[in-house]
Amino acid sequence: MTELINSLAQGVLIGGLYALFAAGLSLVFGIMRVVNLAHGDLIVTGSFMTFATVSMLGLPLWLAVLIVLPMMGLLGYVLQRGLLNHTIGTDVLPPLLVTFGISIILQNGLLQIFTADNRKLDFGAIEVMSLQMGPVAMGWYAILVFAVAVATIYGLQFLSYRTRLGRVLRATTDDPEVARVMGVRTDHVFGIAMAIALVICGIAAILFAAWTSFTPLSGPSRLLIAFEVVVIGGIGSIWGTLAGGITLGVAQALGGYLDPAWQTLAGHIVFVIILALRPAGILGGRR
Amino acid sequence: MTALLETRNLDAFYGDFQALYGVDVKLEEGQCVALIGPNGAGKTTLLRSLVGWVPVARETVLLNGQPIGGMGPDKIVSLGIASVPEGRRLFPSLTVDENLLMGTESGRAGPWTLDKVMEVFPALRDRRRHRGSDLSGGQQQMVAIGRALMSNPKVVLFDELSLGLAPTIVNDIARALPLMRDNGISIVLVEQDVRRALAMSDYAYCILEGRINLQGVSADLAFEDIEKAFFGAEA
Repeated sequence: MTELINSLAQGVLIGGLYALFAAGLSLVFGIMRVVNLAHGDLIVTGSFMTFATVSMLGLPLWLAVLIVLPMMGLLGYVLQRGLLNHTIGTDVLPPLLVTFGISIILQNGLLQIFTADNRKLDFGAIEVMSLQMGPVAMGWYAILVFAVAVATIYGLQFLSYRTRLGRVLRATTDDPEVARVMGVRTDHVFGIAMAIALVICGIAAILFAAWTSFTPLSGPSRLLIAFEVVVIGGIGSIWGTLAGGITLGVAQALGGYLDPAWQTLAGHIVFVIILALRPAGILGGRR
Repeated sequence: MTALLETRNLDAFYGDFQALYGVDVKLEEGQCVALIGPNGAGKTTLLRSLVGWVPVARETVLLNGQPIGGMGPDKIVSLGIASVPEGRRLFPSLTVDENLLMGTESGRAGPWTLDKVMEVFPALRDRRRHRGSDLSGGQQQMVAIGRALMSNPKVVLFDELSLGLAPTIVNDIARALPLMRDNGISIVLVEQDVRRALAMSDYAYCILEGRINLQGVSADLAFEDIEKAFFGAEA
């Protein structure tokens, strides 16, 4: 029983991380109608940036955060304005092909620079400390990750509904053509949206770099998680990504509790069930 | 004297299909000009060319004598041409206030504020926190007009002001037009209802098959001439 509760708690906490994987993907799809197939590889790129600054250059973690997050934002803006904006149109195929190409370039570029070795970041003692609550033990690092995830999702919600930029982003999501007639420079707004998405990816990338090991080829599995979370939670719903992340995390934990080999499979099964029963997602249709 | 807004020999295309042939229209400062004509004649295309939605040659659209044809819609609204699109097209997930505030994205300074829009359309006062999609058609049209006003425009382009609205509601909304003109705003009006269009405007152009085939001071246009113009007979 204790083991079950422990697994569930672990599932909830990793759900926060999954929500971060999904939030950027959901944002980009909502505004630009682009399914970013390089999303997972961009997360892994962020992890390698962190690895390079912390493990190779020997900089402290807080400095790495201050370097990696702005770089991810800049990368997002440049990528959108310089490349992806040219692929957006009535046809859905060009952005798919181009982001698929970016995915391949990133994977092979990272392989060239960092080799195929497994990497993992070491954040020190916090990774092994745990909070004992009766029979349940929760790792402090997992709690920290979850807290950062909730704070990030809350920040995104605040940005969307309480700021001028958020109003412009939502208006552009609703109707980019009319937004332009109001004076919105949609090219620029798309760039900003991708920058925000990649900063969130960067946060997830840093946290994930110490959670489990990664290689240059870890991207597609991250992308799959992000996809499933967006569909489970509901497209366009910010809190839905958190609900979706937790659902997927708990499903995997339960599967893993029954049989370690079922962990990933259980997540996919829950995804398929929700897709069949509630295609709009848990919080879909609401905002 | 240069007109506030004019087109000179304007051609417009959708792909290979030519929708406008050498159209010349003029809007003087403080005027209300109506564009009338049957469906598919090119009225909306003309409006879309002015907004920047249809790409046209630079020197075929002039604002105060300056060529602005084919500039992006975001640039054109910043020069003072705002629009009330067909079907209102509010942002459905934004509240009434947020929809109105989108008008300020033009970056133009001027007298229009949320409070002033509420004075023009008191019916919106207790709906300000509602979503655009929760409003009645008439209220949506008020928000669409308010949104255009919030950009502090010199010219407002109306596409099908009365389409799909009950006549009494249209009368409510039409009251805003003289008020706009008192505030120095000139108006271009595309309208299905010919009698209403003539009553509201100073000057009217009738468009058929992409060409102007009748024009004149609205009060002087004879109804049978318009009827002939609609059906392509020599006017």
